[in-house]
Amino acid sequence: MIWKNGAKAAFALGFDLDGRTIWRNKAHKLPGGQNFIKGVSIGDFGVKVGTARVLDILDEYDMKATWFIPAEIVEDNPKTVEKILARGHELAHHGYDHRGYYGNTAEEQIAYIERCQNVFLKYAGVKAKGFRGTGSILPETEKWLYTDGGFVYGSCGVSGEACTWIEVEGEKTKAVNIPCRDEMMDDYMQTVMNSYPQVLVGMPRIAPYRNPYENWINEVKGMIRYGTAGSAAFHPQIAGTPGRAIMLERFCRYLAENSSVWCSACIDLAEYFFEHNGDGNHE
Amino acid sequence: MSKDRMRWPEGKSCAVMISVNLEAEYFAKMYYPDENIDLATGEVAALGWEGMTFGLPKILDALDAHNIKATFFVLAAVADKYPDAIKEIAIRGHEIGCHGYYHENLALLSIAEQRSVLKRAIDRLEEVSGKKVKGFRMPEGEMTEETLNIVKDLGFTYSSSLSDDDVPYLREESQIIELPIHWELYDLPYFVYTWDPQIPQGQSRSANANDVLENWKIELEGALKYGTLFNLQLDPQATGEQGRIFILEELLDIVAQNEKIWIATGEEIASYFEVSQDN
Repeated sequence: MIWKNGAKAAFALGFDLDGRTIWRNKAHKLPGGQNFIKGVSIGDFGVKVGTARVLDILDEYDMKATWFIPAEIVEDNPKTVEKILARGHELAHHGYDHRGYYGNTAEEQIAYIERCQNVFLKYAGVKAKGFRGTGSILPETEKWLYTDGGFVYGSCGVSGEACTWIEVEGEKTKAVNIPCRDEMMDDYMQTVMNSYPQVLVGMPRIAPYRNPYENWINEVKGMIRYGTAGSAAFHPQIAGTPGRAIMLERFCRYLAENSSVWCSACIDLAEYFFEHNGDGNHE
Repeated sequence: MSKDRMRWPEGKSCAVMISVNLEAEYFAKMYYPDENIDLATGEVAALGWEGMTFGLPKILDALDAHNIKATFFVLAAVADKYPDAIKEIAIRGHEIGCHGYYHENLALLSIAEQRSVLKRAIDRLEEVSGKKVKGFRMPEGEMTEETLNIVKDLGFTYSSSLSDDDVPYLREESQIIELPIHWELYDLPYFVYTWDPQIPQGQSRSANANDVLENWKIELEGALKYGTLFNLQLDPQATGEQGRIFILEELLDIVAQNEKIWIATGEEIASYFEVSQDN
């Protein structure tokens, strides 16, 4: 499809504000890990420093992004979330505490997802309309999510390359897929490092910064070539560090100067899709 | 909305701290913190020896050539084994900090054990170097708030171990000054490689030194733009190697020629931060 302003592709900058959750969860698996302070400090950087730096870069290029935030981080940092929303960005669902576990049954999983929505409502005054999972969910949960659950798009790791109606077990839902291919668009995977516990496992080298940067550009070029849309999983704990912020700024400049790609938050892409493809009532 | 930009002395834009983690063969503890691996023989011992014998002199010469004072976080066990090297570092005007005794994973020790081992490490480092030790860098592994309480109590003025900021700050519980570090500015994880034991475990290929220098230049650009502390960590067996020492020389050329950069030791940065807090 042709996107807004005649663009061939649409792209949504996505930021996973995970804070310390991933680090804390990993440390808890080690003896005495609940008192460790080094690993979690890497995650804390994202909330303490990285977010503000990313917000300034987005303002500089007048870009609206989607922030996928675990509900626990929202509870603990309501002022940070307030600032993100005040600057026109979107808040989206990213689990409660970034554990992979959503519950054993669809009822449990739906209750878990709703519990996060209530946190958003209480602390940020909004419910999420977009979903990026931190673990797997049952097909029944997914059907609810994208049909009656109030979620109008999903933006998950490996979900195909098409920006189109999400199907669950062959059945069309009312929500649209905004792909986000991990190894191309996840800066955490590309340049995170720690030794205890090892992140990533096996301690591969931190990539030359131009490698992920060129992957981002190549992915956007692919979207333009095939007329699709997609998002990224950038992490303020990575993207907000001084050198990576330089790379993020370069990427935003590339996006801003490229008329072939329309950039906005995931929800804007989803709504534009609905305007041109119907409201999802597939009668 | 960003927090106020850090103010550096004389209107400088950012600070550069060159630090060296002097670990000799104990670098392997970063990859095997909880195992009793053989440090005395094989490639691990050889790399440790090579770094101390061939790498360290090149790093010291590069620092002298640029008239830059660095901070050496030394394991007391390295001071035991290479006392002359430690004396040489001190004589050439560099700061001596503490990196533990035998590269302990401090979080796994009791409070009494942590206190005892760090006290012995300070005493040994001061005895060998003839200098007062004020800086602490956690041996890679983990620690707890209690570790920092002990560190403060033992008379250290600062720690340089955590990553939740990129400018100096006061740690809330222990009230110790923290000079943050970040993995991307540490040479060892980019370069180190041994077959047995496997380091790194995933056997990823050693980085291209040009790529690492490129990352560091981008980090320096970021430090200047955002007014942060560029806290470089070096291991002599990594950057001190003959085919890689040029990246330190080139970086120091850039840093030394830029009048907007404040080059300082950990002690100087902590002291500046302390005074600026009082004002």
